[in-house]
Amino acid sequence: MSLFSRKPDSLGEVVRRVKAGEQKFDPSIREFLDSFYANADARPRAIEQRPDSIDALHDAYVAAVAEHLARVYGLPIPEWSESHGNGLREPFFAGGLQSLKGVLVAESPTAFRRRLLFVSKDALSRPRM
Amino acid sequence: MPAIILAVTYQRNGGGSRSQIVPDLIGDAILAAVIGGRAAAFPVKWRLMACRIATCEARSAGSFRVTSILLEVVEEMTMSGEKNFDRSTLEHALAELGRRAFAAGRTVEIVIYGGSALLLTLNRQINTGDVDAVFEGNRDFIRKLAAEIAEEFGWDENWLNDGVKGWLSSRDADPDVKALFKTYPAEDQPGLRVYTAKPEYLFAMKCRAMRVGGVETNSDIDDIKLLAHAIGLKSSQDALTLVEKFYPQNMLQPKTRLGLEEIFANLDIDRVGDQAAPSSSLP
Repeated sequence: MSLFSRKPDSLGEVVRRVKAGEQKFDPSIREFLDSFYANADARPRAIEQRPDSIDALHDAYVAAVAEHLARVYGLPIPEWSESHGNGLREPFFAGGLQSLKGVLVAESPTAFRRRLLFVSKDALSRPRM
Repeated sequence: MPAIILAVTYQRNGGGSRSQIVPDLIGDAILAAVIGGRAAAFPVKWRLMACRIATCEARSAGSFRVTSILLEVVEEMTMSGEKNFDRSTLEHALAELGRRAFAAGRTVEIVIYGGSALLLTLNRQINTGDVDAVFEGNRDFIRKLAAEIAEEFGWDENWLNDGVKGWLSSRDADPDVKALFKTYPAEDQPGLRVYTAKPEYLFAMKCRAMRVGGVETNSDIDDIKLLAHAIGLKSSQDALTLVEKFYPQNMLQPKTRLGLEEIFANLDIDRVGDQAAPSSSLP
């Protein structure tokens, strides 16, 4: 990758970069979201391919992102998201703030909540939306 | 594998001086040929690693000559491969924008927000390679320049974007909330004037957003802690008062107050932890 390099255009590319050690997971997801929001025509393709596996938490998160974006943008929910990342056994609360757990339980989008992931309702928002 | 990306300044035959970030793989031999005896001045690990030069320019090597002895390191990949988007990288991009605007006989202004503003003003390391900026007065012209640069350097086409507009405060037009950062490429060649949102404004923006969603990190909360420290905020009440100077209370979500209370309750503990941490992990 280089300066201002191309953003990952699919969740598969996010996972590939993470597994190759080219980029950390969170910034790669953020860049993927930038690409997803900016390129309406490419959205179905961005989530349709099943990514490789990283670990239970990351896999669940990737599947939740795919399902959530599909729901929000009226795309077919990828079949792979139903079977990918179902291994999380403990709830994960993003952000590390105890005081926000109640908020996150209340507002975490369905695609995240049903995978035991608790994030804010705007967790996938980006400035350029 | 670690890699560096370099910039060469060269003279097109019959054209002006240009800088080119060099993105394709060539060997140390080409680096040595370009910079001559100065190769030895570079650390061995740099000389041994692959260096890059633009394919198109390499193919047409006869059409230009290198005029600068060389080379500016504009980005370095860490050993782990994580992209290290540092201040010199960003400034190089802004300088390129400024050079082109000046060459076109224009002086344009942009205001930078978000992580890039933190990088410029507080040297906050960031991991995403784009710039949140507002450039109302020169939108089409700046977009055109940014697109040209993206095309030429193989950058993401949205490396400079104005999506942050939706997060601006109603006080955004107040000159007190921004500061002139620098003029590019130089004060006597004013192509681009860069303003940054002041830390207090950035703090308010981050507190208003307070997105909570990262798996490994939480950049909004980390940024809030950094800015609170930089501004000298001591309590959540002071923080909320500051936020409400930029955004009315009815625009703030409950998580902002809850989050600030916990952040400030633990801020001193976090600072002790930060001091004990290696510098490379500091925000």
